[in-house]
Amino acid sequence: MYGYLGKLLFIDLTDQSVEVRDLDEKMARDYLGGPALGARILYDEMPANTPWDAPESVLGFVRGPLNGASAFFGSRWTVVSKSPVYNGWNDANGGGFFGPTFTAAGYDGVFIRGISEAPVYIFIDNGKVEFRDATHLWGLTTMPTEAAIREELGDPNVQVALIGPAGERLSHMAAVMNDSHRAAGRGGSGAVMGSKRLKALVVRGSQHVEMADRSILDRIGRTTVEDMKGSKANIMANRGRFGTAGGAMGNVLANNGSIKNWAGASHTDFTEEQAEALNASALDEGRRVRKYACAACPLGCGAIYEVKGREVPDMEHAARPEYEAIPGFTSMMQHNDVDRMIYCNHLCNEYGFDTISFCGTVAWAMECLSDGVLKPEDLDGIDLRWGNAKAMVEVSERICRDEGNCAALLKNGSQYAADSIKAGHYALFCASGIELAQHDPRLACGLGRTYQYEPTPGRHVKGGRGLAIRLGPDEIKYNCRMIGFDEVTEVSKREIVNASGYCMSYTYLMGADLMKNVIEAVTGFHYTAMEFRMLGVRSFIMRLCFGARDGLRRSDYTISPRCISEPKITTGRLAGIVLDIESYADGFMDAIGCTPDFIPKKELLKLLEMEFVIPDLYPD
Amino acid sequence: MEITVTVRAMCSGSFASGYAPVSLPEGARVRDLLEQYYDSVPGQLGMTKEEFLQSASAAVNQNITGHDTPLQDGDKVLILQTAEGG
Ligand code: SF4
Repeated sequence: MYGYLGKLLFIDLTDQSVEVRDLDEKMARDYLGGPALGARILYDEMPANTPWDAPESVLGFVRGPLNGASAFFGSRWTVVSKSPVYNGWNDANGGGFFGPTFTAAGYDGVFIRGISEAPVYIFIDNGKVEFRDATHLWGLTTMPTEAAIREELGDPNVQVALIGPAGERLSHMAAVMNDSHRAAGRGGSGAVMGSKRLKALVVRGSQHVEMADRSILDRIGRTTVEDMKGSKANIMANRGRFGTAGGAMGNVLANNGSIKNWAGASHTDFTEEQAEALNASALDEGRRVRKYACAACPLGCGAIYEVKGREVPDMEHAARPEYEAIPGFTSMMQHNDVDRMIYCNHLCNEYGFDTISFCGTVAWAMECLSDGVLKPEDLDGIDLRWGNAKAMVEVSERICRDEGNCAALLKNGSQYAADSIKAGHYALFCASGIELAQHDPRLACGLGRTYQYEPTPGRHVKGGRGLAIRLGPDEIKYNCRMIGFDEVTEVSKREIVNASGYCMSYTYLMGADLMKNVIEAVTGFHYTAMEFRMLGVRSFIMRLCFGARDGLRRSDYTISPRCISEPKITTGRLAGIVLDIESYADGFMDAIGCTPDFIPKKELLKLLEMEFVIPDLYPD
Repeated sequence: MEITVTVRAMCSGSFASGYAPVSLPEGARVRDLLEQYYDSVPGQLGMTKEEFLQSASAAVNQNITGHDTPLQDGDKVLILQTAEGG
């Protein structure tokens, strides 16, 4: 089989048993890889309504066919599990070098059930599986853990996907990390890993995937390289130089990034002068020591910072924060102290927290304390009020180190905290209990739909029209009529990006229409245009079915009132907007083939050759 | 009429730093300015003009406005284009 190793590995940590199964070619063609293939396999492997932390709960690491295929931008690997946050399907992907090395280790997917008696890490060395004691690593932060494992194995090139203390403590905000600072962050898969007492999955190997037509990939690669020097040179100079951080200042001023926990207006509550500090070149100045690129990436959107002699602890190897963390740890808390923002981002990477949920949670606490909903003692006496960057650091450190009331209240995120004190719900900005990314859903109905009605809620990286049109004219972005077909088109495309192992940034240098050519060149599968569209639809529906089988229905996909402009906003660009996500979602659900209750119709399941789901969703 | 413009976009091009003067015909609207900007950085934004117009907006004198907003002599305009990701 081209593009695949053809093997799946199943591990039970309770008795350390191992089973290798063949990957069926039809399953590979229908589900490609990543979240789609992961959902297909977990659907079979996990009984309905399995608690996320039960021994029967399965955690999967899944490659896409582009991983290790030397396709530009094709290195993203995926972790799949049930989410502790919203008790539904979860997938999250990471970049770096783990994906290609995972491929070289010999499996298309590794699926782990059971609970280890003591902390353990799994080492897959060219197909061979070894369980190694991790008692001495339990409690270590991510970078020291990576270093210790490499030293222990005597190989600086092994790749490690791991959890930090956040995952060990089963925080619902825990990420799975790799390459020091790459995070498969969202939805709490790190907690699932922690519940299994699995500190790390370590991979090494020399296996290769065969490609169906290498010459097509080479041709596309050559054109991309030429474009980088020619027509796309400016994109290289910007996206390649500043990465996602390059959008921070513009996003905040456009009221797309959060200001004052999503209740503030740009220019009024966060000025242009304040925003200047978020300019990517200002961030890089005096801090950036080198560029960082994932495997097989010609763009290299990352950077490594060194921060010394400032008002925060020295950081020798800190990642330049991605866009999400920049407003998240500054304008959202109404200050522009970028050193403290970089430090909080670094803390999250070291302790293994998802930055998006983490900063959303601290901002929620800031608003609640400022409004008197929380009392000073709830936050150990720390004066976490608007604009207090120092207090933001103190609270963040306490959550990370599991100290005091700060950690007890906030370690599982803002919704969990509000539910536990039965207050502060007005200040939440969550979908199904997970904090939203730094793209304001009130800017476009479609963005709201993507956040709310999606098997993994709260993600800006899932498909839909909303993200692309959110700054466009009102008549487009707030229109809810006749949107279904286009919405499904965008959803399908993004599903295929994620399932194949592509990085979302590939569109900057390569046209979206090349994706089908690349996937076909790698896998040798051929799809008609309609089959290709349905490939993406199948991925979405498979992920949806995982939660639907457990009984999740439309009304379970909740969104905080503030996200849909309730109460109505009276100042700034969002004043007076009418956001009708429900009508938009009606159009989407109908077009993709779901009932108004957000479960797939029988006819769609038959069309997608997913009849195995029908008895679960339609028992009568 | 003459307005001053700065750009915070993925590709800031010729409007790169600070507020620079830009001449526009009387009656021009935000959309005209966005189109003029797009045309001034040919092929460099990696998207069609229509896509750019859907991903960009402008703050006129510190108020974010729609594309149909008329511009006036002396206006200070910030062109904003968001980026995805992170
Ligand atoms: S664009 Fe950035 S995140 Fe994407 S593959 Fe390249 S370096 Fe990695």
